[in-house]
Amino acid sequence: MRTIQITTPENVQVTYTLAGAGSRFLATLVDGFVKVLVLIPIGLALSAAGLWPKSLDAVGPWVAGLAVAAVFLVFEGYYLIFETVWNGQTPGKRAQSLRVLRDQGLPVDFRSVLLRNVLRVVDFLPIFYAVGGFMAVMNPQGKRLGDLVAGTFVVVERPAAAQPAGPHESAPAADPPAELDLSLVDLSVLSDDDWTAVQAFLDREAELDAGTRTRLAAALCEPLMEKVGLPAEVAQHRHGGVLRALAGEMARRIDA
Amino acid sequence: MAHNEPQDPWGRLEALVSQAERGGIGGLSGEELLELGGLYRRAAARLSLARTHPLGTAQRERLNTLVGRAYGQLYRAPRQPTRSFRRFVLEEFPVAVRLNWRFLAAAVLMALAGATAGLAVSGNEASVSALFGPGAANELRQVAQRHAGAGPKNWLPDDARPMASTLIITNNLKVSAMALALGITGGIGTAAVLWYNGLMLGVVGALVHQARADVDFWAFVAPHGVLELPAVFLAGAAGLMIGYALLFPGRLYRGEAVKLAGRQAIKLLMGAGLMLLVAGTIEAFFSPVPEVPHALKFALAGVLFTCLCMYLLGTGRGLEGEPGSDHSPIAQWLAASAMDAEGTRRSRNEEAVEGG
Repeated sequence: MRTIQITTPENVQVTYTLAGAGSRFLATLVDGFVKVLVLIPIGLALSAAGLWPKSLDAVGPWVAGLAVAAVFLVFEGYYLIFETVWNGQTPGKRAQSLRVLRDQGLPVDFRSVLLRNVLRVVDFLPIFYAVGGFMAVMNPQGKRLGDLVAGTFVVVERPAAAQPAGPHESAPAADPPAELDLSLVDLSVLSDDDWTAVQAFLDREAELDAGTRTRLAAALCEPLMEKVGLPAEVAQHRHGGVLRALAGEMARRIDA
Repeated sequence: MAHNEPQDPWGRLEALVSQAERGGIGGLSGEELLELGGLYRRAAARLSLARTHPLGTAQRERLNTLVGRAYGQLYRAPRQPTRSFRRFVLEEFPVAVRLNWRFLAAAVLMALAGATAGLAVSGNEASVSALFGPGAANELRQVAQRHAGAGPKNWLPDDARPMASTLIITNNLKVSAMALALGITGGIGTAAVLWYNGLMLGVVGALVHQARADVDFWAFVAPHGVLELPAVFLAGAAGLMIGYALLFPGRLYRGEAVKLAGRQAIKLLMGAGLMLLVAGTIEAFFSPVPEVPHALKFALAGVLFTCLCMYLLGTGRGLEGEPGSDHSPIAQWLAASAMDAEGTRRSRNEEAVEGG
């Protein structure tokens, strides 16, 4: 899984996951399918108007001309229109949760979309994106020729549904003991690894069964309480709650 | 972010970002916008802090994605289609053409080389057949002969005109796009496209001359040709710009140079596209009309060409260069790029002022 890091003007680093050549190719297959699908309503509309199927001569010059223009627009303008209006996505890309971004992580603008799609004919050579696919595999940012010239790259967006919503509604009932007051506790003695362990536990405790949860909480909490100088009885066997209180206190101090 | 807080503090940020992604940043109210900005900064700071005060992996990933999305929404240039279009037509395009005149000249020369080759080759039956298919020379000669002689000629029946217009425009657009795209071959492909188009014109011109249909033919070609040919040359110039950047990136990394050139070159293609729309329409609906006397067609061609030159040479402020400054294409493109950014800023300010 290749990633790319960009730095925002706030000097914050954001990490994007680059899309692999496989997902991108699948996306183009879906797009090809959709292109054909779009023509069906056009055909139906023409049918309904009694204009099709007839030979192009019979329908009159203007309809024929417009029909050809419509087909051209659908086939050649497809990527151009969708990637501009849908902020870097096409139906195929949506299906694969992909998005086109400009080099600084900025959303695409019309000119970069135009550039990367004009270059598409070269990327497609000799057949089925052989050149583009090769470039995308070899290039460290996964760029095909169109991306190189336009200054874009394609990322995988983690679908929002897969992300945890924060505190789990089904969180176990272990609350910290009522008398637990952490405001004077020195939290600086806890290392980064300690905090990572605490957060990892809190992220996933809802997935654990009750027995494992209690055991893990105790195993985690007791050494931490010792480091911090809390006597063991304070926990009253509600180790999960103590861990949550520790994390909460830390967050409170950071945000304050 | 605390686990013992009942609500999800980043939920509000998620909601605002999703709203902006769906309806555009302009769809948010003033307060929502301020809120979004504030939440974004808090989230970004928390993400930054996550290096020393770690979040859980899932949380960090979620925050990372959220910050990335919010960043994308807050820092994009607002879409101003009308204003951008006007600025493109009145400023960016003519300035870009003037700036890159050397590439345009090179494109013209390549096409001329092809045309000369075409003239030279057209006497030779075998070569013409090789280039355009067997019997092509005869066919072309017959067509030319049919149109030679006295009387006005109808080159295109009324019925076929709308279809012809569409086909002409789409074909020209494809050829132009190809000319730009092949710039990635270092300009070789672009040169080939230009040379080949010149060749075809040369051969056709020579055969028409052999059939003594010159005046008829050129009267037909002139009204749209004066727009169509420059458009193809512009597309060729665009491709050559990209090829040049690939081969001679100067002080920039090759990738940076190609990106810079691409962004400048695409302006030429966009302008060429507009010219081709007009040219294709003229080619189908005006050029073939027999009732219009040749003199009028040539006159119109002359007027169109003059207007085109006046437009390209006179519109828009140019780039001022200090004497002795670097005049290499890369340096000029960097200056042009800075001007583009300035123009976007000005447009946005104008809009902000007008919006009240």
